[in-house]
Amino acid sequence: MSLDRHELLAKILHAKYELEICDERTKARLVANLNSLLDQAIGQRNLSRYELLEALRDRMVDYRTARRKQEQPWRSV
Amino acid sequence: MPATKSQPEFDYRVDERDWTAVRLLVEELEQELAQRRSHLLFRITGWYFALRVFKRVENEKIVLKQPSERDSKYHKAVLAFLRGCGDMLLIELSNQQEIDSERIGISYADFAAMIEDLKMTERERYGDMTQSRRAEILKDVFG
Repeated sequence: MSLDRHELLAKILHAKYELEICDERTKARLVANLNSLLDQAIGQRNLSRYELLEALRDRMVDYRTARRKQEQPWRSV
Repeated sequence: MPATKSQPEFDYRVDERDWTAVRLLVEELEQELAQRRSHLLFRITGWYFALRVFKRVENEKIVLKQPSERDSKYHKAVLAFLRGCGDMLLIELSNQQEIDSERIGISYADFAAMIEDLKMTERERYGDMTQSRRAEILKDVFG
């Protein structure tokens, strides 16, 4: 079953963030998960995973900021 | 009695995680990798500890707050270095069937994933795609 596009975008941002903060010994599983989500988003388009991640740069900045505020609300960032 | 001289090195706050520790580790690692005098597993361990220190500083300086220009420059340079070294070590490891990285507690898959994570972060943060191309891709993929 394919995910709604916005749901898929949210899952990709979450998966990338989780990969950034995870323990090194869980990276293989999390990289596989992120790659699977990126592949779903790309579909048949002539686009690489790296290109899609780069396109998501501003969204990732917003997502990280939101997560930081959620996890550490005392930080003034 | 001589006047007290300014000694800026004393202003350095040792309790603050900074790029200095990462730079020292990177310099050591650079020498180890260039001379190839140590066992491959020793070099992978050295790379792994440099990565761990890098991730701690990255978390403090880049992830948990808005990075300064200086932090971004160091982050970009060290990220590229560790990614490049990791790639070389991964090639060596894959060429040597008798060496199992599980002996130092790191599976081949996790080691490869650490390097992939660095590549993804490098591209996501520092790739040179234009703003208009990024917007075009997002519109096409996510509507």
